[in-house]
Amino acid sequence: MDLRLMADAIRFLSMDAIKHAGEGHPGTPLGAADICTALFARHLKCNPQDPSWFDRDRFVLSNGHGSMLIYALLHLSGYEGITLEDIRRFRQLGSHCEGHPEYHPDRGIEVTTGPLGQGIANAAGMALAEAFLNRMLGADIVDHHAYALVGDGCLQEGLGQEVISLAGHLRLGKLVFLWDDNRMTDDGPIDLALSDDMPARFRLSNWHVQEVDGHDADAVDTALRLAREDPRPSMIACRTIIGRGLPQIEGTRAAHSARLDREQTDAARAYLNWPHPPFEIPEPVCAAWREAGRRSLPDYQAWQARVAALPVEKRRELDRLREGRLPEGWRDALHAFKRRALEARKAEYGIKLSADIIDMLAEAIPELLSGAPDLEGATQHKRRLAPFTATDHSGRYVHYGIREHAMGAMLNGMAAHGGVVPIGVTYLVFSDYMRPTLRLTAMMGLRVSFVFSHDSIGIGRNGPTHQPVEYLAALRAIPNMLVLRPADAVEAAECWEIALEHRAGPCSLIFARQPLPPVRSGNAGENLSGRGAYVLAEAEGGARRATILATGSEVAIALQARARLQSDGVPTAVVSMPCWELFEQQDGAYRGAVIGEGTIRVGVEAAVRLGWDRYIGGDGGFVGMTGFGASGPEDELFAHFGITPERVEAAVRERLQGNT
Amino acid sequence: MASLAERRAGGSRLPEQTEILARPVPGERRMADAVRALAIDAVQAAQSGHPGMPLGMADAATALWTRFLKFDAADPRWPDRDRFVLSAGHGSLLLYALLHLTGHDGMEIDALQRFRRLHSPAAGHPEYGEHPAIEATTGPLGQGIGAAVGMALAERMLAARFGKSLVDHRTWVVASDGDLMEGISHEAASLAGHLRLDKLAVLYDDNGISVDGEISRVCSEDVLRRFAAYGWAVKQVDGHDPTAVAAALSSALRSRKPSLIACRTSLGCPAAGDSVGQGVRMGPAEVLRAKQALGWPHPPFTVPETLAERWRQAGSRAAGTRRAWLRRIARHPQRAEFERVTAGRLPESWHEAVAVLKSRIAETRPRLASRQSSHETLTALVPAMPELVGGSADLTSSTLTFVKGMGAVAPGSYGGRYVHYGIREHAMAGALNGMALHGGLIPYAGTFVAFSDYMRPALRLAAQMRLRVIYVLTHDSIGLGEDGSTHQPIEHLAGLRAIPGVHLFRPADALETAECWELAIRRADGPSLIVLSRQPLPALRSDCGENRCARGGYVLAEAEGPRQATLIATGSEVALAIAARERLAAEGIAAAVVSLPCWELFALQDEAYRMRVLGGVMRIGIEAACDFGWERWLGEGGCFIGMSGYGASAPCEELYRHFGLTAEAVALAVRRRMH
Ligand SMILES: Cc1ncc(C[n+]2csc(CCOP(=O)(O)OP(=O)(O)O)c2C)c(N)n1
Repeated sequence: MDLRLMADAIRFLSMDAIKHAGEGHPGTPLGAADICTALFARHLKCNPQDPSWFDRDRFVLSNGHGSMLIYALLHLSGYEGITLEDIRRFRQLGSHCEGHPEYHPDRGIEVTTGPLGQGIANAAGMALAEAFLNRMLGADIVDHHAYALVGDGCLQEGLGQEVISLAGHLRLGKLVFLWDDNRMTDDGPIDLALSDDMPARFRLSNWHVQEVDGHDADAVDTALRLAREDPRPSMIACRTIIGRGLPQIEGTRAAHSARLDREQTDAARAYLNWPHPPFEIPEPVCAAWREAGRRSLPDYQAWQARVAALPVEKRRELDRLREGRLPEGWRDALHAFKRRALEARKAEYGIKLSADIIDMLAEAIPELLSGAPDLEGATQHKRRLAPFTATDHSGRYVHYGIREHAMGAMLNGMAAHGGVVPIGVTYLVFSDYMRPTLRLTAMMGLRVSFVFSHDSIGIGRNGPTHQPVEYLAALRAIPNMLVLRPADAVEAAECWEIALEHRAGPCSLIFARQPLPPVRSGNAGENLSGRGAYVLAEAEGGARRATILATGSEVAIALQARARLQSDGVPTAVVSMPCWELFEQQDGAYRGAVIGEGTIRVGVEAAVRLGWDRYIGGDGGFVGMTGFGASGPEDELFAHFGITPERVEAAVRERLQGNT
Repeated sequence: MASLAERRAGGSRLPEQTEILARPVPGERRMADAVRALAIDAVQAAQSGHPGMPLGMADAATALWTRFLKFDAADPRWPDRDRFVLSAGHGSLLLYALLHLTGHDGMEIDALQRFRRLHSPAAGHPEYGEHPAIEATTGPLGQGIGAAVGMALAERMLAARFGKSLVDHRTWVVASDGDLMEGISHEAASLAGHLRLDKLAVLYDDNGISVDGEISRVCSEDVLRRFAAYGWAVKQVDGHDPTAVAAALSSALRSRKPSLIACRTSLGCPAAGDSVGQGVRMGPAEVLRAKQALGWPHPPFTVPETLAERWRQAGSRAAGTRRAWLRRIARHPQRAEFERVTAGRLPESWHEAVAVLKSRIAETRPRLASRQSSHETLTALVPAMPELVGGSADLTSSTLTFVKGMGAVAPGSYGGRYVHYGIREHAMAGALNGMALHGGLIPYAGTFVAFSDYMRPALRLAAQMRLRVIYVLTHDSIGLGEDGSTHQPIEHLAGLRAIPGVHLFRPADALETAECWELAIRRADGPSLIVLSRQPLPALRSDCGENRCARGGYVLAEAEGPRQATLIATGSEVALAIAARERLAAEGIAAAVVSLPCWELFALQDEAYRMRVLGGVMRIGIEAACDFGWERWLGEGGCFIGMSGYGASAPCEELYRHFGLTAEAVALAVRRRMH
């Protein structure tokens, strides 16, 4: 079958759906139809009958606004999760064809895309996961590529260049970008804002670069073959005409996101000689596409046979990794850590606690991949792990360079790929550099653990640019993310247990830089942090009159304030709240009892107040930050900003007087 | 061209420390040593800090500051000075030492002695506002380059407006490897190359080391060639050879492109050992050894008088140039206007066209998307305020930020007032900071609310520096419809409200949009975010006298009869509250509607006013976003109607129904609570 006809099937499905929906982006699906036809019909290793086959090639539509392209591709090649009805109902509630593609591996959608730059970074993360698993499990079991279709937008984003640099540096040879080089963006021709020598940017970052006519599917086919043969990551610059096939607007700005009307789609039918009615694909073209979808069946069956022939142990291990289950007994080390902490009861640098824990967990969980953007020394989450390098892809610690955004998005790619447990570590202030990716992790519900250290003015002299104040609030606002801020070694172990158990979404583990004195005593039994908040120290000597609520490093301050109040005969409880989101999931009675409704409530956190009113009520007190920090020694800063036991005590006392 | 690694291995390898130290010591080296010694002493006194960058770049910075940088220590705010941005803010001592040595008031030796202590202007990282010669707050890597591109662009735009005799200066940046790895620097460099900002030069500390160790572990590309691909002129020099650095700086003066000068340096020179530079403390023994190696016998914090005098002279090198400029401006026909815009004063009559617009809106009560209303307000403002410059990150036709007649800035042509930033939100926000820091312009720029996350690090700095920048953020909720959840903000309003010093405005109709724009324009001490809808909003107001948004929140519709409930909403949801109020009224329940376009301004009102507005009755909050932070206004018995998770892809009205954001739902919530 002529690839051109197959590509036209994509074009018409796309334009019919966009016309029907009343809006959409025809430019990409029409312009890149030939490129993707070459990829899907000749190269992509996949099985529409088993979309989440572990050894499939991954395809990412990084220019997610061209979503109709992937829907058409999946539908035509036989993915049952994307039906013609879905396509007809493009951009309607309940359709699987959302405005931008949304993560659903069972339907062939490997990641959510739309925010530009993310998809290519995800693909790089997938290639990294593949490279690691290929070494771990052998090329018999893991040997696939990650392809991404990418537009000008993704490559203009800073994230794009971070990924180019890093993927080239790490020699992720199974990563292939197909650049839809249509010289057009939303504002108009790219020369409004861009004069880069794009191929040069790739070449000098050690990529294999080819330039082809993107409407010549055979040329793309050949380029793809060469790309796969080359040991470097590959970029194929495919020169295209945006909106190819719509005679009135192809090659113009209008094609990027034009509304289409009947007249235009009719004209396209005449122009491309496509006499078929809307949403109808002639049988031979359909058959050719289904055939293409079955192309990898022999590979698939051979792979299944190889897996079946694996020794039982290896098979179990593979199944475990595929299903994302952690190895038996992974908690043992955590529990031992917790017991030791309860015995030793000594203050320890917050971030070092996490580093110690990961050092142990890395031993128990061989698929755990750690890494940081150039803060290994300050965050120490490498320890015994070998680096993942260009020449050794079996390493388990990724030096991302000073590229937080790439790290975040690659972690998403790794988690979406599966088989690995990705962890990324940086300072809490730099979480903003990767915030666009955090939201996507949460939206996709991926298991990624982000470790954010240096979590407050407690970092001291580096000053306000490095002192988070609004970050806890901003992270807590993200739906479907657990934000965990442990107060001491015991809570640190508990929070890590929660994070790794939690499979429905990401966790942000927030650690202080400064030492955290022990606040927990008693036995190591229940994971108290698991309830989100709990009474750490109950009021004594009568009914509770005051409740001090705190997280992380401020729990110790709360305990000191309590001691003062107690010694003065004010029965005061301290509530530690390591995870608000989990606390919200508890029943009303538990929540009410813990936060002490009806008592005087004061919250303490070295951060802004936003969000705290929920727990401290209308006349509660809050001791924290009201603006940005300052440069000075940490203890002086806590005093300067009044985050002290005295102030907490005073906040309670003011209200005691009001009460009597 | 050889790769970096090859160059390192081959002939043009990095200079060795011993080799550098063995060179004859010219006067310039001694001047640089003064910088080094001060840096060493200050880090030693603070027992913290990063000596590496100041030590490594001392020679290059000395060449720049003593022979090229146009400044006069007597007036660090002289408008036509060159701008110097230390993008690698962790090397703050380089800047402090230079300011001290060149004789800037307010950076006396005790400031350095109190490096990194509370109330010292010599903070851990350079803080804008701590000293008048600190041009920008830096520290988060890449941001300085982003700001510098904005400064260089501002210079070109102002030169186009006021001519070379008033505006003719350069922007110099000292950056580190880390700066050049961050995405924002890629975006900014690509933009600067595209716009041919030829008066921008970046000196980069090419030391091959970052916090984690050798750069080659994390980066193997050729930075010079990458910048060449962005359209920059690139050079590599021995960063310890003042003559070579000076030659490169001279060629930057002549270049028709922005310049990148890689200064190959030996990190931490002359402090022995590789890792000394990056935040690693030196002990007294190392300090001694370092000073001996330099041949610097003087006590701590002491610079011999002859050397000090040479430095002070460098500080007044451009005094004559400045006096000549003062003479020029004194008789310049545009003097008053120039002084007005550099002082950030608004034009006398800036407000008239908006007033006309407001009365027209009050009369015609148009139903408009607030992004459209914003466009109309801009159409009134832009002609009245020549200093107002706009732009967008490739979403001009969606954010409606372009006003006819503005003209776009293009390579080599800077008379326009609109910047196509490309799909580079982060660089855009960085450039806005730079323009505001430069002065003479009031910059605004647009993208979608959802993509505000991409610029958040720069936005935070705008808040920290209290800059007058205006972000036009459109497509503010599920109301954008079909584009789906990736584009629908949920947590963004809360996330932005959390940033201290930000004013977030979410107007409810055309009139409020005009009012919010007025407030944003007036606000001189911090960033304003104007958050706007894609979908049309009905007009809710017919009064246009007092700017009611100025108090942050107000009673838009009082209850008929004693108030039983207060419906508090922002933006597109205010209309929904009004509809709910009508429903409730029909059932005999008296509810008031409060519009709360700006939380931050409302929080500044006195308690009595806030109580009056919010009412001591049941309160219902309505916002098509997550509830985070709303308890503050709702109190404990309150109830919030909004989003609890991510959105979906469908037409706007359907989504509002699907997620239960309807007048019925609001009315029901009130009724439930009454019983
Ligand atoms: C981070 C981000 N910024 C902005 C947008 C809005 N946007 C969608 S498509 C587009 C233009 C993309 O241009 P290109 O990649 O060349 O796509 P094409 O015009 O070829 O369809 C923009 C700015 C986005 N989706 N994500």
